[in-house]
Amino acid sequence: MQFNTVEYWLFFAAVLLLFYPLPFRYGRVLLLAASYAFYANWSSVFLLLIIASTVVDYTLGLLLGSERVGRKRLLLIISLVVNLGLLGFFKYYNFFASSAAEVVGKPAHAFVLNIILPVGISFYTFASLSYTIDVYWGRMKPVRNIIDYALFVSFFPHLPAGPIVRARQFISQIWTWQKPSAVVVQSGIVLILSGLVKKMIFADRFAITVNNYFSDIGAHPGSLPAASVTGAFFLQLFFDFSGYTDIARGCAKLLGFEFPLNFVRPYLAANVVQFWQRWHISLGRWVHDYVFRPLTSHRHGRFVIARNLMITMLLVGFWHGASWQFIIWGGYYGFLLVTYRFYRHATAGTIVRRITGQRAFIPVAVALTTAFNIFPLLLFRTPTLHDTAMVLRSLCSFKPPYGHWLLTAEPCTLFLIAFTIAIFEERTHWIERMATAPAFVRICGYVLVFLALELFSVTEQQVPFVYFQF
Amino acid sequence: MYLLLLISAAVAARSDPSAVPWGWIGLAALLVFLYVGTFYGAARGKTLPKNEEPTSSPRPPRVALTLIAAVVIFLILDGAVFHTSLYTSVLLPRSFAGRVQAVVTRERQRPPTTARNVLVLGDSRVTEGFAAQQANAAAGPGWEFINGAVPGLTACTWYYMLREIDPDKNRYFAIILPVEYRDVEPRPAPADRPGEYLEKTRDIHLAAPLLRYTDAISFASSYGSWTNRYRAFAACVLRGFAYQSDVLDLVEHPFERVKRLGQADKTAHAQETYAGSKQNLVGVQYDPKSETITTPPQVTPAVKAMLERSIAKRTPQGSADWVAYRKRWVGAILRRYANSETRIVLMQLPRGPFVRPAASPAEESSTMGELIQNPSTVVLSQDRFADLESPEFFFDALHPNALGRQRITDALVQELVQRFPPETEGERQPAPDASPR
Repeated sequence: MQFNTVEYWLFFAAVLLLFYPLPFRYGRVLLLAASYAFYANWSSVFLLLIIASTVVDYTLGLLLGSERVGRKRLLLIISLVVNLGLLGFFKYYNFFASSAAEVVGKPAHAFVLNIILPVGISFYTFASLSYTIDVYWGRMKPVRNIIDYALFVSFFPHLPAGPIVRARQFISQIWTWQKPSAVVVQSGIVLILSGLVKKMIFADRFAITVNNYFSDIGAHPGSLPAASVTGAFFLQLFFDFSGYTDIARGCAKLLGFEFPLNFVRPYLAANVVQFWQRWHISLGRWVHDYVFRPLTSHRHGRFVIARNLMITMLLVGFWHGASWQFIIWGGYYGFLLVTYRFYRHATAGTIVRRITGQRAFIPVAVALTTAFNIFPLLLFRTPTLHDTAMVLRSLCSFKPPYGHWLLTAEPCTLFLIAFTIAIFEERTHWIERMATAPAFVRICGYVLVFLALELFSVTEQQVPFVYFQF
Repeated sequence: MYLLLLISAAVAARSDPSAVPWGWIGLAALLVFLYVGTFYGAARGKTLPKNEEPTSSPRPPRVALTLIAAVVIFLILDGAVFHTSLYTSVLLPRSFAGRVQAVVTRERQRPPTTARNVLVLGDSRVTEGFAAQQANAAAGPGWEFINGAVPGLTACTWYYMLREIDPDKNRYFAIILPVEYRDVEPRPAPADRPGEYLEKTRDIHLAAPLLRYTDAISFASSYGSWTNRYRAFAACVLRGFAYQSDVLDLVEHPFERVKRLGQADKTAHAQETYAGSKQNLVGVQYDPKSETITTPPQVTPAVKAMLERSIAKRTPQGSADWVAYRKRWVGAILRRYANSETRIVLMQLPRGPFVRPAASPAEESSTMGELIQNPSTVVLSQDRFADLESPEFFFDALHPNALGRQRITDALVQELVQRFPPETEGERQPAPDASPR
């Protein structure tokens, strides 16, 4: 049940209709049941996995809240082993098994098991870990009510692909839940519509070109197809994930909950640090708070920070998937962040910094950042490193055959529209302001969105959300 | 993005250095646009913190009211544009929906005559295999044949088309429906699309100009999966969904559309005077024992593949789906005309240059008889056109060529004129072949 299907919206409407007449103490039970039903729609077997993980972390949380310091560390280790063990088994077993097989000279599939990756495991594992770590650090008290805790882990809008919600943010919302105000509901509706437009009009349109190319890379030789499809995937990935997040945040708002921001127009970032402050923010903040900061807590040397940045970004890469592509992707970003830190340090107070600090230089900086970002994203789409190399080789080859520019007028127009919308949004936040705009403006906006979804959304094929694979 | 654009422009320039550098000029304009845009966006407004949604408003938001108002206005707009002739008049003439609409418009505008009007429905096999002008000439005065076939047209669309052009069920003396008599699907469903006949999503686009709000439930329930039910429902209520590709084409090529609409009459005339394909499949051989096709060099691989598909074994499920689909929609047409004066004539067109012999008695079975309860339904013998199932009458695995077209038309006219002589006009003839053999 994906967010861009009729089934999901019928399900969501039913949840809303049943939820609001109930007192919240029953309403949260309903939300939990709905979340489990939502997940069982994918796999009832893996629902047991979420329940098991919930019970373990809930129990450990209670014990962590009552034990002395020495035992606490042991309990935290148990939590880490259980959560990361499950994640490791489902997500990384085959990667290590095939790598080990190659090392000992056996066929790559010799030790491989037929494992299906449970949907959202990376997201709910990190959410669960944030709870036990925060309780261990004394940042929050353990949750006494298992319904509250289970709802935090499995709340359906964030379950498949985040944003990664922290326990102390979400559970405090359960304890102080209030019916959302009319403005919040309005914001939720605006977010949902914005997400649907991003996914069904923009992302899926670019996906047609991308899927066509990657279904048979060899059939599209030349640099023009490679350049066009790289640009298309660059845009598809953003619109797809950002669209999903908007829908998730919008649905949560309609149910009276707030999810953290995940995207703030990342492709307008003027440097790589800004990019990570704007792209998949909930993951960036999670690894910053639970990995980078503990590693760096007492050591602040420039090289220590650089090393820790590398470790953190490699972990981010590895979190995305068990393959060398993601490790290279993480390492690449680690390298960029470290290089940028050294560059900042080296140019502090110099004329270079003064020039690059000018407003006129920002578009150039945005272009450079985009150039650095665009190639690693290929690693997200190509199935193997060999395919990545093939696309990069095509991209950088200026020899015939040049091939054809695969993007038709339609996606090119969408790019220009998206760019214009993003620029005005960056400047004025007009999309958020829609929630408080006069009724006439909102009605016009809604009608335009409905018409756009009716006429320009991709309905002939259903393109799954890219981040559901993580 | 800048880099990709530069790479593309550089490559384009190198591939054709003599051309006018429009690519470079366009690229320069685009880069200026991107630069100015990013420069403008870089000066951030201070009105709201970064992307935080507001939690309060100086004016009451009236959420439900605005949402309902927007939905109502949207429905009215959609109805005004897509449920009236406003949009159907600019449908791409060569699209499926455009062709269906053209037939409907032509039939609505055709003045009533005293002649016996015979409407021949069907898909591309009938557009290729039946010539209305030749039929009129052969039948003589008192008969008027109308070719209402459109490539890709299915029984579902026939039903909605007839409802549109013959609302009182008395316009036609006879309606010819080409149907397969055996309970075997005429073409095997592709392996990646099981349930092809139950889930015929193309029907949604074909029937779009003919669907009404009141069809929403019945049309949607004809589909098996919820996704397709929703699509079918949406096509009735929000017809814009079904016109998506047409709207996109109109937005992308508005001038081309105007040009094509201007040529619509010319195209219609060309279709009327079309004589059929001159090619044939003489030299192609089929061995039923080994089930192989041997083709001479002039036969293209595409035609060969089509011929091989046409003799492939059908899946029992595919055939079951096909029977269910046919019962639903052919049955609906027969029920519609059950109490009218219009004769429904069922005929089996020549199935192809080669027909795979039935592998089992089940493949020979026919449930068509179950559908025919009305004596005014005429079922032509399944052998009527069997002698035309030969390579010299086809230009590919399905479509009759010019010679086949001529023979089929003559045979059909002859059959109708014999069955319904002028002196018996108005009298109901008992159908000699009330059930297919």
